[in-house]
Amino acid sequence: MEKILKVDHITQKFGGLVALEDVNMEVDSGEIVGVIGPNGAGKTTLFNCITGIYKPTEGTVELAGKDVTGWKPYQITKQGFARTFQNIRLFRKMTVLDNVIAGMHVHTKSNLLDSIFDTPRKRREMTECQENAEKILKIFDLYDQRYEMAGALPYGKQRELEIVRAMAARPKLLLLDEPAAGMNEQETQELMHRVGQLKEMGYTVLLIEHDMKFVMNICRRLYVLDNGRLIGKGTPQEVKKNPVVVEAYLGKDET
Amino acid sequence: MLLQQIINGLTIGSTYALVSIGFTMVFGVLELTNFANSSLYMLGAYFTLMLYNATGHHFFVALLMSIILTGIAGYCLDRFALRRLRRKNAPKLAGLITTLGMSMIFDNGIMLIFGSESKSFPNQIDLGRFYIGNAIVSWTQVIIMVVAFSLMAILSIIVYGTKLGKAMRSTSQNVEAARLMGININSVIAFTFIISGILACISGTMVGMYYQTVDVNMGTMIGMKTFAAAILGGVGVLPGAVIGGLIIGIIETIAAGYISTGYRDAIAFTILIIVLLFKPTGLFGQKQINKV
Amino acid sequence: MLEGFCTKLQRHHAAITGAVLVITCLIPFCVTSTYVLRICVVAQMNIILVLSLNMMTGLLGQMSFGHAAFFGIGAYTAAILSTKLNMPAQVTFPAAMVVAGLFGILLGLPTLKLKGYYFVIVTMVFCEIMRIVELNWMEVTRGPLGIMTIPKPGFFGLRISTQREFYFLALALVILTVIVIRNIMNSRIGYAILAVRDDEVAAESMGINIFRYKILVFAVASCFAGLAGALYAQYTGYIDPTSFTNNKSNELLVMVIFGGLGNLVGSFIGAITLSVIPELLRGLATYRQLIYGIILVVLMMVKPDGLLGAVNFKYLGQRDKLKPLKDGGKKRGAIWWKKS
Repeated sequence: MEKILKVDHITQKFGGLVALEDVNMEVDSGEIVGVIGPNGAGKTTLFNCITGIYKPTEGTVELAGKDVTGWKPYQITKQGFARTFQNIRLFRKMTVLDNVIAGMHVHTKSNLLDSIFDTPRKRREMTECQENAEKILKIFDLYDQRYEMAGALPYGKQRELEIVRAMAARPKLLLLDEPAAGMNEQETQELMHRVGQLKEMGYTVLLIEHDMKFVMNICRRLYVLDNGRLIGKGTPQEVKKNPVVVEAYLGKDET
Repeated sequence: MLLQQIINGLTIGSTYALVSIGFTMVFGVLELTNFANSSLYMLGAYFTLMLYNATGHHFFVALLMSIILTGIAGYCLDRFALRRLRRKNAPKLAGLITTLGMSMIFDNGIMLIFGSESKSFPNQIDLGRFYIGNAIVSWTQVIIMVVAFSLMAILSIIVYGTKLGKAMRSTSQNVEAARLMGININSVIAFTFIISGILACISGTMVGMYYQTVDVNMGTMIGMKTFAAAILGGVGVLPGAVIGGLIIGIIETIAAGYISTGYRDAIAFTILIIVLLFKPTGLFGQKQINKV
Repeated sequence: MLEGFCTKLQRHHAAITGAVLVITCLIPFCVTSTYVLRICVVAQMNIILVLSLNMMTGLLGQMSFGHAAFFGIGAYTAAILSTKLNMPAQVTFPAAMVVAGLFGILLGLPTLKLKGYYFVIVTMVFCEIMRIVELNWMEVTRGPLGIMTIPKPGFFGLRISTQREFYFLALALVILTVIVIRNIMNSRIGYAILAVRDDEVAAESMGINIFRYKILVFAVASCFAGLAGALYAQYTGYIDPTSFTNNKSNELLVMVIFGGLGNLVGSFIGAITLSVIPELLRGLATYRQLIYGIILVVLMMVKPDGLLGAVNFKYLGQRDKLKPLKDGGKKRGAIWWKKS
């Protein structure tokens, strides 16, 4: 099994504040892995370290065997990470379709001259992009809304669109930051179905989640963060039984 | 020679610092680049001149009334243009464009009333001059610096020592939280604009006295100087604005003295760009952590 | 209402564009007044400037308050090359573009990484630096005297000298500008630019090198400002630093905002309206800046996006094409020829 992500002894400090301390983590190809933990445990910070928004103070991040520590976010995306955000960050004034096409940026090649002279190569590329984008949108039932403004979609759809946009980059690893946050029961159900689809399509997914039910059903393995430290890992069942985890997280949150 | 340049630089720099404080305060509270700030400076100088003639050459009466009028102008700027935008939750850009429009209205309004030629300005407090070594220091310069620095002192007492100042500082950190804590945001903002108007007026009047002339374009030039001072020091940081203003003032007089009079502003601005190259947040600006 | 109207426009956009183009081409044959033609040429020059500034401000989302600087750089480049070195227009015009573009890159490299408001101020300050240099570098720019008797442009021996010829030269340059900007915006680069405008963090995490695209847009926008400058210099035959001040920058910005940020059609409307109106109201020439100020303030209160800022013709057209599925294709004007 190919290792897609290897987080090696990551520490992140902001001034005196230690947000992450000595975190290790691995994700294999084709897996769906969850990161859980109470608020402020450092989950999003971990994502930001992996995707290059923060430069970790210590430790390394490897993507498919390549050390990407300290790279810029756009370089890391080019290398094969794509992510969503906790507080949705869509291109709000672009249509659903254009959001997805923009997401394909790393796989398109035409340069400034191609663009200015409208060369066949550029046209071909744009048509391909459009077709591919429509294809993914159909899978995710967003096709009918393809010409709507992204910012005008209902909340649940916006979350899905963000996932679709990340998929458009055809990443080796898809990082979802609290995909179910703010969703109602029905929307969460639908999202679970979507993530299932992702797995079938062969995507490797690392997701942060608050909703325990969601993670328990969908993830093969879990990592538990608390106060910036990894306090447990394993299958959902193992994690559920781990007394440290129960005390830190489940004990307080899920009585 | 160098001493002379530094003294002249400090004088003019302290007037930049005054205007710059007003600019940076508005920025701190609203995150708004106030283009009209420099128009208030010009407006203040013209008000003083107009009232000086109207009141039969009572300088201090004129200055006092001018301060009040410019303060009101600053208030109006916020009350009748910017507050509406805030209520509508308009994008930040709309506020910036509005201040640009207001500054065009102020500048050209004054030009239509008074004409574009420069007007001579009375120096009421001409008390002669004295020497420090070879450098000539006029009492006007001393007064300008004393007034400027006492105003800065008073302001820092207001901002860092009073309840009102606390309200201002909390508004600048987080408008929503401040509102929830019962701070009347609109009055804090209005107060900030009034202060920036007053500072601009005093500064404009003093510069008018110093050069004994005012003209409509005086605002445009100082506008850029104060922006430069504010970002050199780090936008939103009060001591930064003061030091930025002084530095810009000194650089430009030294550049004028040793390099070229024509290029002095260009040199000051180029140094600003170079500083930003190495310190993108300005000299005293804090680097912010990207919240995602 | 505006949206409905614009949808109708978009439906017939090919016909409308054609008609406008034909009318534009006919104007110089119907109008003989040199005065009117001169206004037209100036308006066209402003269109080039406003389009390029809109690319920077509306499409990329970076406010620039110093566009006149690049206009000036282009003008001086063309003027100096044609007066001192007797260069033909096929050299001066591209040279003006290149030099302006290089200055754009030079200014962009240190400053485009800065936060938005820093950039605003730096562009403004840059415009002032350039004005001071133009004013003081006597040997090259002749300072406040300006450069006089700049020769009329000649492309490969083809001399442009009458008002009518200038009209068509300007028209050709406008069309060039539109095509280049449109083609860029319709490519992956265009999508990246819009993405940067909407959300920089998201754009960067989609693999878009924000800084690179900012520099690229700044360079392209500066290029076209330089082109407009070359046209201006060789058209009027005289330039001095007063034409390239912050006032000019602000004027251009007013035109962009009036027409609508990010809307190219709006830029045409903004540039034409605000170039022609002051001429129509010549008695009010002194009030020009005041009127601009009032327009800005009122516009921000009433319609912060400008006339067409909230309109996206491409999206309106796309949505419109979906409609026949819903209403049976009855109201579709664009497919009238398929009626049978």
